[in-house]
Amino acid sequence: MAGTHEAMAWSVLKGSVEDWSAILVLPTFPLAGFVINGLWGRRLPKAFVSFVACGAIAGAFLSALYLLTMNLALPPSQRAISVYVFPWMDAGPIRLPFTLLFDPLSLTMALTVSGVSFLIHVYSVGYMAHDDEFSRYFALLNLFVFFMLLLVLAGNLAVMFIGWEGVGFCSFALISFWFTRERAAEAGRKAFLVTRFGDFGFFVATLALLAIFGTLDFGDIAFALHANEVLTPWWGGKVTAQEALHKPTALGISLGTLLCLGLFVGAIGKSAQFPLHVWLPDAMEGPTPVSALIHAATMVTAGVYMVARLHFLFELSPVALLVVAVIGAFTATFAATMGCVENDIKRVLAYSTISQLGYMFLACGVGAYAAGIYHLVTHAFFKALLFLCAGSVMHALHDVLDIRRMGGLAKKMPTTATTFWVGGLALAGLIPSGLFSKDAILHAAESQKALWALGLFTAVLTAFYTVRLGIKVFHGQPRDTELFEHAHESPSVMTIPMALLAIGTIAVSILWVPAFLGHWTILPDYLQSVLGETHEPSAAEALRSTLWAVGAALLGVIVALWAYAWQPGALWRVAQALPWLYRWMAGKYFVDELYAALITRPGRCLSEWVSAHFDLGVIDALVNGVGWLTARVGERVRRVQTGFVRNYALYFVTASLLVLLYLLAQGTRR
Amino acid sequence: METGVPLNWVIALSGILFSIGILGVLTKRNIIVIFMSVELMLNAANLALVAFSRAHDNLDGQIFVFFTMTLAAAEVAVGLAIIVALFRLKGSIDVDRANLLKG
Repeated sequence: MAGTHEAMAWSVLKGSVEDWSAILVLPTFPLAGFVINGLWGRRLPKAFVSFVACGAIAGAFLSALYLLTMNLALPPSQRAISVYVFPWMDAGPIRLPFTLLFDPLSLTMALTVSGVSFLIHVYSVGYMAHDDEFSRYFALLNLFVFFMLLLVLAGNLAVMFIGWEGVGFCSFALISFWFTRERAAEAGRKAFLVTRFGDFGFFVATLALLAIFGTLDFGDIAFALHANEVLTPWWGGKVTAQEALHKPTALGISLGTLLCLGLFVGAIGKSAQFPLHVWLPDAMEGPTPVSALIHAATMVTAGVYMVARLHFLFELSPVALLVVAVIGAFTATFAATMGCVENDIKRVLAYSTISQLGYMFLACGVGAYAAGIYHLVTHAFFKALLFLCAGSVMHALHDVLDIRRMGGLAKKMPTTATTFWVGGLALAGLIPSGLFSKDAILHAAESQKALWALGLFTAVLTAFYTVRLGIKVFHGQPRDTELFEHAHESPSVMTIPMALLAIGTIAVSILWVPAFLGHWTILPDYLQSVLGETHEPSAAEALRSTLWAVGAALLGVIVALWAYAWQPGALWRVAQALPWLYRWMAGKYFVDELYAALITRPGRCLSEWVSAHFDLGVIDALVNGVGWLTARVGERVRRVQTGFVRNYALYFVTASLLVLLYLLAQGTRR
Repeated sequence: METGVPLNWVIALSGILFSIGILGVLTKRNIIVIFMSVELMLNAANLALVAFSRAHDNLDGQIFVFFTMTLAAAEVAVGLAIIVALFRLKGSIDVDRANLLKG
């Protein structure tokens, strides 16, 4: 099997919490921040609340750095350690301990999550300064970071599921943070329901894995598959691990494929891939730093992380991997086309996030997990940066989101404009680190020509909508002079995190530099013990691949410049020449309408019918009937209580006589 | 029992006294008469106990009667106190006027 030697590369050692107690410190910091701000935040001054919230994340980041140095000190083959914290569910044959994983992949994720969220926390201090619910915001943000760290540090699928659901809840609570606005409340509900739908697949697959392997521990499952252990799955008998996963199912695919697809449905929901992408654009109703942290940099990447984490399982099923790659490549293009016609600054970025997540799944689907994780890390930086720039623009324009009313803002907001272009060009794949990570994915996808072509086409679209966004917001003539007059640069508490993220965007590129620029492969080398060997192309191959990617991006840039700077209005004529195409793209391919027609409206009709007939006619009738009966019986029976003592005495006597007669009758019968 | 009144007669008397007591409780409206009827029922029971005690040559019944008399004395004390309280409240000793507790 293809996966066998991969599993061999990843041998997880068992460690006790006494030896590795430092790993507990990492999630404890944000949890403590949540408790303090959640319980007492309302009564504490804002300065203290922000200090606690940012300090908690800074603490988590420093612990992650410390853990990284500890991990690097170990020999490469012993860097994966499963830390047993406490026995969690011990029920007969089912044993689910609470374990945390201390390995290169989880540490890479923990560092990215805590690092990016620290900067976003600091930015939020400025962005949310005038909000009345300051403490609730920071408490939820800290809770989110806690669950996200739990998700990436989880040593088994059950612990991962807690984190998975926890971040889902925090995402819901933060999207509808301004819940008095109808649209925000609705968007929060939509996000929750759509991702819950995906979680169902994840959960069922998790239970099935438990029923087959008797454990959910990542290391144990990988070992069972590698050693082809004899298992006793739920259908009885004894089979080897490989046989169990190749068992055919009624759907015509093997059980292993079905399991992977179930897990992937969870990933689709969380990472907003087609067809469950509909919640992410609406999630932009939340505060902008939330969009930056949860809906761009961290939570939405959980699906990618999960696929990479369970790659030894996916590799047993070529069908599942192909599905991952195809969904990824398709979503990348699909979302990018919608981003090209969107006029809401945050929604453009939301579609771009969906599209970039598609790239990551494409990488995982073609087996280039390290490239996927690399793009995850670089994307976390530049997408968080772009959202923070968008937030800065909104802050300056009093929450105006429509890019048709902006323009020329570079003169008023130089820092925002500069950092935006750093993030934007990285997103477009023209400067490191976005250039390197996207290139690594496109290079890995070259073996599948169709997917590679989709990836390249997406690169054109990405460059196009990024440049379009940048020009419309920051350059040209201001379209709304009144808004323009009042615009101002954001305070330094917001611009400094933006500048740091811009520096970070460039700096993370040293983790993996293409072969023709030098031999820097820090990240793939570090992740090798978990994700397996990464094929490193020769300098010539890498150069050719990079030229393709840069060429595609430049094409997009030129089209955007032509359409919005040199010949404004030219593209509009194209759109009018192809009205159906424009209508479909601007209407988001009517996926929302399709779901409304197929699921929401029938569901609503069914609920209304059930509410009118079953609830009112059966449940309410039963409850009211019991009450009615009691009242009627009471009306009759109350006459017995006359209030006359002699009547009561008569009852006594009568009853006593009856008892007496009964006893006498019994006596005579005997 | 060798001599004296036969047991059956004494038991019959006891039954008659008890029935008179019941009738008094059920028919009278004067609470003092009701109270006396209750005493009559208690004494009818005492009579039966003593009679059986003698018939069976067993002192348990007579000892039981002592307890009953003690209890009756205590009951009289409580009962009379209730009657006094009732009279103060209603200005009458008619039980039919104490009829507030009804459904």
